[in-house]
Amino acid sequence: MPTLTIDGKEISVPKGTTVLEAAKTNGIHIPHYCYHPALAVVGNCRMCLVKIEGMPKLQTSCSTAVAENMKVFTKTDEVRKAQQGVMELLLINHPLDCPVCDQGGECDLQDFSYGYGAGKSRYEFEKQTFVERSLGPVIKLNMNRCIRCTRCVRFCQEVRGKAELDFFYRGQHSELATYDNQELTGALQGNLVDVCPVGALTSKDYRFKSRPWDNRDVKSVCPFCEKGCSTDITVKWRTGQLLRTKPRYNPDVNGHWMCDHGRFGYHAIFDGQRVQKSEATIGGAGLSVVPREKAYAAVYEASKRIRERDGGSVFFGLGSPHASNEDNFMLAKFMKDAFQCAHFGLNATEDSGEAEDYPGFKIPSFKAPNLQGARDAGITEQGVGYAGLRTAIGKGEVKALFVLAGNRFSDWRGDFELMKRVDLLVIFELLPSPLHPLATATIPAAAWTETDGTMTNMQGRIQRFWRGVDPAGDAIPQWQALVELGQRFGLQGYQQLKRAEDAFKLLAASTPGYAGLDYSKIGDRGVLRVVEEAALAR
Amino acid sequence: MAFEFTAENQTEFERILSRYPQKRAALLPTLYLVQKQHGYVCKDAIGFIAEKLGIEPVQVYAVITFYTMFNLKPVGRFHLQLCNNISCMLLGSEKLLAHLRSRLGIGLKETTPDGLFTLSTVECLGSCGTAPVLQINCDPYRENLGIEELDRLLDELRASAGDAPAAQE
Amino acid sequence: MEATLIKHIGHTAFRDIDTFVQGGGYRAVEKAFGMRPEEVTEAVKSSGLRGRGGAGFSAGMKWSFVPKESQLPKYLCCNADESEPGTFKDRQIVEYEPHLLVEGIIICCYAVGIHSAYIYIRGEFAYGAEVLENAIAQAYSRNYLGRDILGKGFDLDVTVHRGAGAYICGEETALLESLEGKRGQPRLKPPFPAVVGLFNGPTVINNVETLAAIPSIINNGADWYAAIGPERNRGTKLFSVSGHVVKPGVYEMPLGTNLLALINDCCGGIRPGRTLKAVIPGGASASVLRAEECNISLDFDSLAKAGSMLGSGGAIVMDDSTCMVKVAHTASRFFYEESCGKCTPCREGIGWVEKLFRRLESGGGRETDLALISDICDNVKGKTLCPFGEAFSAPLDTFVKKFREEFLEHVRQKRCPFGNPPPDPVH
Repeated sequence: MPTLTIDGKEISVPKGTTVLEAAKTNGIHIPHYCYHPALAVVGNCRMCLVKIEGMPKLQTSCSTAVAENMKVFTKTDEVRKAQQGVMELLLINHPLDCPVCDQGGECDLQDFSYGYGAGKSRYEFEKQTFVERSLGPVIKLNMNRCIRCTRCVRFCQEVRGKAELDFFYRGQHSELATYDNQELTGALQGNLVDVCPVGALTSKDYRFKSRPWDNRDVKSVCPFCEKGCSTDITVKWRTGQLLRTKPRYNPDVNGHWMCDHGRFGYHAIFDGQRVQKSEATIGGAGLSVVPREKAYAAVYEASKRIRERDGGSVFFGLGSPHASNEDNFMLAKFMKDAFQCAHFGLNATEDSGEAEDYPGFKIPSFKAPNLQGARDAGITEQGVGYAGLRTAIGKGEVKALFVLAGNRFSDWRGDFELMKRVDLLVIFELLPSPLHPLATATIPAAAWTETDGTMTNMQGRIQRFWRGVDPAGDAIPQWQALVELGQRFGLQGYQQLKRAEDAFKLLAASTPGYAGLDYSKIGDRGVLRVVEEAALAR
Repeated sequence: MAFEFTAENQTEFERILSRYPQKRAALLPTLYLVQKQHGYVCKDAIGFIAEKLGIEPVQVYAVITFYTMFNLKPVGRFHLQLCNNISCMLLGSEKLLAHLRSRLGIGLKETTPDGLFTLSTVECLGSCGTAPVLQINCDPYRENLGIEELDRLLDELRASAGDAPAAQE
Repeated sequence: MEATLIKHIGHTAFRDIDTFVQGGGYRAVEKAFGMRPEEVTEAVKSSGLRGRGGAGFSAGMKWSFVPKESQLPKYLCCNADESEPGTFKDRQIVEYEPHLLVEGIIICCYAVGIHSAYIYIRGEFAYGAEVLENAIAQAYSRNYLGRDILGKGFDLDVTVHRGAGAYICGEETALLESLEGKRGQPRLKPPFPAVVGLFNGPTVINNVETLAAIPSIINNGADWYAAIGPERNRGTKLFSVSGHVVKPGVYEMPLGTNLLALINDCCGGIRPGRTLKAVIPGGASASVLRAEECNISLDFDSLAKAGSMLGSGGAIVMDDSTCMVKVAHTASRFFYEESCGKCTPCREGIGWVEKLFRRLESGGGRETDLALISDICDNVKGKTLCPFGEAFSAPLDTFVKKFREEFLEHVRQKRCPFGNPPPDPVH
């Protein structure tokens, strides 16, 4: 571990660390554009120049490895002058369109120019201009704003694994483009918006929707596959509207990236017909909108009748790999407590068979986030899995079914016919279920953005997500609905379950691998559950 | 129409490839070969080269445009490239340029309607001792040029193209 | 003294291997093969030969930086990308002494343990490339190249690789990128090419003139070479002289030759009726010398001391008819057109400076432009990824400082006092 000083502060970092990284991890800010921790170092923006004792010229801190007894200075007059000089040169051809630029407010160029710029330009000539181009459905290119840091070019080569973007021509004439104006391909395009330090590459989905100072970011987890990328969801303060999803750096899961399926997946949930009201069949009539309590009452009455007639063994809970650990756990708990029934199943038919392997990012084929968590929570395919459930219904062994949200029923027409044999069907819905018309009661479920909770990804990493927006209409977290239902059933101990974490703590206490965990221990990056070898086998 | 090398050029292409441990290194010589065969690097050729060298078309295009000697459009039969750097400038290249412009009736990067001449200026051909210097296509330089030599040269070129010498303006 | 590098300038006969061999050619190869490789390197080191491409680094040292053992193949790149305005020396070697260059290449490769060499020649030198191709084909046919050279068990392939119009490819790492089929943009250093170079293998990159000097060092001995020229500046050098002299051309003279002597004795002096105004002594990247500074020894150290540089040894001589603002603008336009665009200060700085020089030459400039040019140059100097930044910032700044009065005269008269029309727009 070499020891060096930066601005007089003594620092020890592992061999091979660059000066810029050493500074960063020790809270010393060195401005930079072309450096990106996950991309090759090229040293072309020249913003991160520092003074190193004994070297005649200033050095780029991004490319200089630390050495024993190195003395680095990041704030001398010489360094300041160099930074101001580079800043001025970066800005001479850069438009002053920050007020209409989507990056405005979250732009490295804007930020550093406040810190290092002169405030007034000495450049009196016409700025260079280029026409705006579309790079496909995801990205807009405004070359006028490009500072030619080449992060995007490197991203395509190194992470996406296909050179799709490059610079044409040379010198000041050099222009970023795709070949023959072709559209970008692949499912990692959104990351280009994130790597671009300025407003050259902007997201068509997000552009002009808001300004950064009107937004807040809420930590979340992507619910669109079992990778479970750490994300930030951006919410507009004023309207509470969900604006976009961005990857949140998590070295243990997704690094700096996420895929476009996850990034833009929220549209499928929020642009569609979210279920906002509970419904129930009251007195033999068809489904009608009712207050939640009425729906619970209908479920309670029907349950009572069936239980008296057939006993507890005809009750079945169908968990969901789309629902949180808390939701799945509460379903299992409720089934046991209310009916002394241990029939839970899981519809694990979400494998699209379409894994995508990029050199720097792998997208799994299983398109639900919490298969592992649902299993851990006690909802397994062992014994009666989904196929078993269908057989059991066919044989008349299941008369009451509780279905968590997100179950997709790939053969829903077949299921629809089959489910007619169930006397009580309770469905939690995010979007309308195809089985909706058969339900005795439906409860609108909160989406992952609307509630706190945890999910356990394919690695067995338990991760938290946080409530960012208000639930749609009367939607309610499923675990909470199950607690309320339990209270309606008069079950013991349900009064005390007030927050998601309360459910989680119960889960942790009864689930191998989760023992001793609580939300604070899971933190921002999640923790791997501890499992015995046997349990790891799928 | 898909681009293909002629049989002779295909042999040459394979010889070029054999000289480098990595296929991509053959890009510049391959572009020259395409240009020799086709006069300029057309879109079909870009796809063809990319495939042969195992790179993306965007990389081929990025390389073509980085350098000055590859043409993406047809040029005249005689591409006149007049050096205008310091030594040539000191010895009158600007007068030669003005003369060429008026004699040919075209501006820079333009081609005469008969398709014979394209006019360009270039930065230092590396023959400052014999300034002013002109290069025609990739042929040996025409050195120590004055207006008279230039006129003779143009006539010579026209004649070689099977044209009568142009009348003096 | 006898020329060793361009003995046969103007005589095409020595392109033929038989004529060359009859004149004593390829003897140095045989002699070198009789030495151990490290003895060859040692001889080049002790000869004091400094690289002739511009930086003036010890050639023998450069060779010795290449690791002996390497997992990847080692390479030699001969830099024949001669593009520095005012420089046209390597072309003479290529066209009239191609076998001398091949001979130097063989010796270098033998010394360093290289079996594959590329001659990167600028694209415009298509004719020179052809001359080289022929010479190489002849050398193969006589087994000076190929497998088991002269029965000594040494293999070597040499390939001519044409650039395609980019000055920056003369920068050694840009040359490597270009040779690999990429945009010719310089690489970050370290790692240095001697460790990670062409196709990631350890690579020696030497200028044409440097390699052409090797055979005579081997033939005549390091001591013979080290006796030519002043301390630390040994050997003969090719000086390309152009501009307003009576006999422009390439002259081989010992380092340490006086600049005025070169102009007057070799080149027949300034054009009749004119007087010397200024000289750019080492190609366009070298800072200009005023007439009164020209009584100077042409060697690496003396010119560096005078705030300029020997560079490529290309002297552009200007008489009193010359507008220095126009020269400065022409130089700036060159660098503007040739900047690769990779790093910020060079890409943006040269664009700005070119516009200021253009405005000054057009008569629209202001006095404050001069200080602005100097400040921009200062913001570029030492801040760029490769030496290109220095290559333009130092000489362009020097024009402004040394010919301030002339610039101010343009400002006062609102036109070029030499009657030059405003420059053409850049395309």
